[in-house]
Amino acid sequence: MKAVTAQASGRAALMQRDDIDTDAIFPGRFLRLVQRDGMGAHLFADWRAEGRPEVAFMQRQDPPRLLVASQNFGCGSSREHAVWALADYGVQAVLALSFGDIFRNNCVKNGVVAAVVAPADHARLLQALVAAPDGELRLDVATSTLHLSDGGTLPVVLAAGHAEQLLSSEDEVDRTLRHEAALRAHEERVRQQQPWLASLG
Amino acid sequence: MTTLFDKIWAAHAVARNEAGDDLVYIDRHLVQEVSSPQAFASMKASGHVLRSAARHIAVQDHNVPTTADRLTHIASPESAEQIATLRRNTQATGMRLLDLDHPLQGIVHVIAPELGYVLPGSTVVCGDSHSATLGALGALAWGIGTSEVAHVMSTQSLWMRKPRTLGIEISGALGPGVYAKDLALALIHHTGTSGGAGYGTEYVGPTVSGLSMEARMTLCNMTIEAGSRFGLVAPDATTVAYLRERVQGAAREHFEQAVQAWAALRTDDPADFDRRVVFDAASVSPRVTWGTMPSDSAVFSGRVGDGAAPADEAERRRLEASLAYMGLQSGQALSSVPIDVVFIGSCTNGRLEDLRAAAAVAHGRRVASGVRALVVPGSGSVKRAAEAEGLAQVFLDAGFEWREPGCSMCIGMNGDSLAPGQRSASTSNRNFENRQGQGGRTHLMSPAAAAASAVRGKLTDPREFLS
Repeated sequence: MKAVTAQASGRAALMQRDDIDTDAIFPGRFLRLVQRDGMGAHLFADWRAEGRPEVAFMQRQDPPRLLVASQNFGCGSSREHAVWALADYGVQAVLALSFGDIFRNNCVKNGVVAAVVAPADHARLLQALVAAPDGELRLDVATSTLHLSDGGTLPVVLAAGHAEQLLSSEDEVDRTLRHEAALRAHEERVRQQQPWLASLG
Repeated sequence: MTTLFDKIWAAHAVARNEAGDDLVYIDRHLVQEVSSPQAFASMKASGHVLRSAARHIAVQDHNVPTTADRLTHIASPESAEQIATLRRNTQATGMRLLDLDHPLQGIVHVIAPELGYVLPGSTVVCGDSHSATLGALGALAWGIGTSEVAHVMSTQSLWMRKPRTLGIEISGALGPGVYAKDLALALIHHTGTSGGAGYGTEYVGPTVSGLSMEARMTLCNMTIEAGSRFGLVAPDATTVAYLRERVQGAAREHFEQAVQAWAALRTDDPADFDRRVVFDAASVSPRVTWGTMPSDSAVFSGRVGDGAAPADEAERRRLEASLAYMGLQSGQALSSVPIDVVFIGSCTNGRLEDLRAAAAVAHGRRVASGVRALVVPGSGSVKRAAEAEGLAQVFLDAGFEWREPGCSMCIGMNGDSLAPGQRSASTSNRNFENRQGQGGRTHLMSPAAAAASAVRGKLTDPREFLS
């Protein structure tokens, strides 16, 4: 059984910079850790040490539950540590104009909602956040709808299948292993038709 | 009528779910010490087991020191622990490990092709974004996260939505002193860092056919820097010749049959791609990055900022922050920028051909005073070959350090890293802030350009040293 993520709600922080890479989200030197708990301590560690404006929101005690980012958030390295750190810090959803592909996949595996917002809706979202910086947002996964603190709503787009994954309590490996017969049939077919692929050297 | 990408995908999709994702069979899984500990732990915690040990191979690369005493001494206790954890996990599960003392140890994306482990038409994954490198052999190869590593270990498959296909058609000859790395930097400059997001990229056209296997790997390696998880080149005579010497086991036994089947592995018509980009390689000159994204590059005779006005306010702010980080002024001549450190290596440019290109420039010359220059071979095989043909001696005579194989200063986890404010000429793949060490400043370029920059002590076009 895994946790179900039906919604993300709370205050949002704004990161208005394109191409925030996973090296920035989770600096390389902390990749030496062999566990996955407690990674939030290293979230944006270098940017925090440099006092960068992008992470000014981290000076507050209460973490934002949503991050509103810009283009290509989470590009670069495949390190899932970036998502573990965001989740451990308390972020339940990231809203952006676009995402790095691997990062977006890593999000859904950890119950973090990665939602794309269309440019016009993004502008409307920024407007709402400027008007009420501490206002509560609510992202509803089942309907892919973002509820703004002023009562308005915006559509968001999850990657295909991500809503189902977030709303399912079933372990993904268990679900896949139900297809064991198909996997075995494939292996047998390869053994017959592509024997060069069937085993390692 | 379909693309190479579609053909390999169709041959591996064994089921489809209600959401429209395919269950893709994974032929080969490469494991390294950084992205795997939590995957092994979650597999154990959930009671799942390694489904098919023979389809996985593990190697330590990110954390391994490049010093000669590394078998007896690893300075970082955390690195030592991560290396030992992979050793324990592979022993417990029966997965093959090329341990630190193995003569074939090296960077996972360098050793996998050397072992004949990656075959045309196969699927290959690894918990590392530069797995796209291996698409050079006509395989679907891509980077995955740790949860997916655990899923592959227990099920030998992954649920995925098929991406759209992008065909990059390259024609025109690369000039002397211009390499696959320059082509990759030029393409990323052209398409942007997210231009390939959501696409599987195939490189086609006469220029690609003319590239060596190693150059194709460099080109595919950088595909992820344009946002695409897959870089792909159709197998041809070059691929077959490369593999013939290297394949083992079943692939060696059935090699001729395989070669016949691989002939069908091609995109039938460029019109089959969802999107096409046409590119002229003859227009490419040696390139160097000046900012903190791989797309921020210019020719060596160019200027910081590349002279182009930022597209919008967000981009203007990004460039401002980027140049502040890099300690550069917009409009400054790139050839005037002095460097402190040179790094030649990584899964992008740590292969034998790369070291040959760098040695051709270093031969009979000296590293400029005050510059530290490291050459880190991508694998034990590359190291021995480079020593046998005299390249190592060329580097040593010129004042370069000659190190043991590993990822080294590309990611800076193993003790090799830049100090704050230090500026490097690097053959690696990412110039992100803090990537090569906290506060380090990275300029990406080809191995020949890195060697030229080492000799001059400034960012230098390699053609100045090639006659």
